[in-house]
Amino acid sequence: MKVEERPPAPQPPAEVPPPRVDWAEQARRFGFQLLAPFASLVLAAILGVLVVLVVQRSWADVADVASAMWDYGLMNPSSLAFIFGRATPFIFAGLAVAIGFKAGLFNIGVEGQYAMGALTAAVVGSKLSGPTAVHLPLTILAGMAGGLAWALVPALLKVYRGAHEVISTIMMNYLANGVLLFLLSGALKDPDQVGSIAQQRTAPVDPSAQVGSMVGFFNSLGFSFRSSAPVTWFFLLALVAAVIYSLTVRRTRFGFELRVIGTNPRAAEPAGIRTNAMFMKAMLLSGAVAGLAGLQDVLGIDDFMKLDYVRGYGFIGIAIALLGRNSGLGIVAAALLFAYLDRASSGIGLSTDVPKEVTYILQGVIILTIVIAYELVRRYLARRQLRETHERA
Amino acid sequence: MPEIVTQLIGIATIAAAVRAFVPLFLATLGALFNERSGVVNIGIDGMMIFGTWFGAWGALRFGAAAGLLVAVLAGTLVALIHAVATVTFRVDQIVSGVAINVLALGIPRFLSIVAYGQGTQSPAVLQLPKIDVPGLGEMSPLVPFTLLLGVAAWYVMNRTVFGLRLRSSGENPRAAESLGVRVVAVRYAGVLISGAFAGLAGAYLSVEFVGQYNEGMNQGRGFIALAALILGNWTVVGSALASLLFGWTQALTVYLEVSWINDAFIQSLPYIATLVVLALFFRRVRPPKAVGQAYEAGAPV
Repeated sequence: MKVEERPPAPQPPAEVPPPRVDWAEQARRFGFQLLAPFASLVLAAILGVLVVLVVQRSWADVADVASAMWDYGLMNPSSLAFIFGRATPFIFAGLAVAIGFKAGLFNIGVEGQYAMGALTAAVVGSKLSGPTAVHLPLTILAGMAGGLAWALVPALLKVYRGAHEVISTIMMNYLANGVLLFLLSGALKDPDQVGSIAQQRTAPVDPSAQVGSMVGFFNSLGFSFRSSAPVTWFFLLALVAAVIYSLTVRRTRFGFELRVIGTNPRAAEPAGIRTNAMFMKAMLLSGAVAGLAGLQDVLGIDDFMKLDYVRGYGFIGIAIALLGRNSGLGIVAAALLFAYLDRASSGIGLSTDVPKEVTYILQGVIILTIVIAYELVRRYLARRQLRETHERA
Repeated sequence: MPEIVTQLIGIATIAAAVRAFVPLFLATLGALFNERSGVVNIGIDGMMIFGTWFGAWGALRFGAAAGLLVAVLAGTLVALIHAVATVTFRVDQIVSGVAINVLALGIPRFLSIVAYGQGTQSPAVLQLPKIDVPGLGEMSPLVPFTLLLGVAAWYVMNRTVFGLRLRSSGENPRAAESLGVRVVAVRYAGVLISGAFAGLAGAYLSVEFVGQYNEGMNQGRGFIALAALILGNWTVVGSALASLLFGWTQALTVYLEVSWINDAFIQSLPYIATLVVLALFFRRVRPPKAVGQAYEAGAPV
């Protein structure tokens, strides 16, 4: 019998000098990456001016809009509170979409997932009571579970039936509307809501599951927010979530595997990554984070879930993930920008003759131009790198 | 006939199904053109929404027929944005489509405020004169016109040089180009045709189906059309049958009343049907091979 040949003993790797980090090059690259969002903001501003000019035919209105966006949008003593409060759901929604993007999944279902999360949180928050230390975390987890459950169907369809998640998540959004209508006008409707102006909504959330305002905290730092300003401790939670997201994606095995199936799914399986299991996990995690987006409204502002809840976080989340390039910091920055546009929009509505919906156009233009701008920057950098490699050779 | 059978397949239900079929089939035909050329167009829903708005606006300003034309132009223009982004700049096709859908959430509202002084609806519009369809009653002349368009689409897709080039661009663009097909131009054509169909589909909804523009009236029909395309296996005849099926589920949301089934469930029927179709058929169909892949003309293989 032939003796099996032994593999040669592994050689100690030759001394390789650690690659020198070229900080100037890194800074230049970062600068180029910033160029894209900057260019798209400038373009959006120019188009905004054009739209105002076309609609109103006067430069005075342009000046009015600009001063409303500056004075009311940013400089009013409470402006920042509104911006932080508004950014909170945007951050959660942006993170949810970004988790999907990282895995190469397009979760357009955030819209339905946060609605279901808000509903389950409202139910757990209103039907149970107990010490806040138990009840509040439980309610938040219930919200995440609601979002996760709504992401389960598209995840299963994707993994077991190969159905693309885009259509299935959108169908789940419409289905969420049906389920909400069914439950909020029936089984879950607040029995105290009777009469002609009855709202279709759940019973109020028990105080033990309500989240407090952050105004006191900010004012102790020297701000002078008005006491009713809608910023709650969920803002802090959103920032923490963004940090956890960044660390997970960059520093953990899970984050690495997520990026592998996102960038090259065919390389994942030979590398020992179970693609389907990862798709499943990514989709469910995305849904769970989406479940957090509606919670500030339910547990901090309205204290109940209603049929005409605030819609659109899911779609804004897509814009924010794109604008923020799926990075934790970028998503927070993009969410603050969109929250600011919202605030500025109210200002335009209050003090000018221009319809405040002009900011919708800004949002749309930003999304469209940002993807093109990023693509152009990417191509330019790739071409430059190719040239440098050629020169070195 | 028992009441339930009348509700399911009675004349009123079938007539409603045919009316609901029209926008779905038009949008599916549009999606057929862009997907067979190799470009995914998730933004078709947004293009339909622009069609609903511009259809009503055009009908108010210039009359119903001109309204339809204005909507076709608007849909084509929006599609041009998608074509420039995806074919020229080779941006991710789904990202660009979603961006168009987000535009379609905000811009029509802005336009409504500018044009009508309020954001969510237009005044009622004059419709095209109705025609009498034997057995089904009065219908919009767009119903037979849509069927004609279906026949024309079948002919163009399967019997013309342009159709062959379109299909080959979606199957194997590299091979197509080596045979002299200008893939970039063909894909532009596919996407623009798609926008034109989507615009007409939207205008049918606002001008002919409802008689005014309402915000959110499209109710995701663009996405249902994409599901119909899958169910129809990327063929014209299959698309027609699938659109009819989905149109029928939409008719049921109006005509089906069963005491033990909740209204909210019946309202959700089209969406549930779409999910079921995805679950059952997605593995058995054959999409165009190169659909969704950006193509760079003349790039090294």
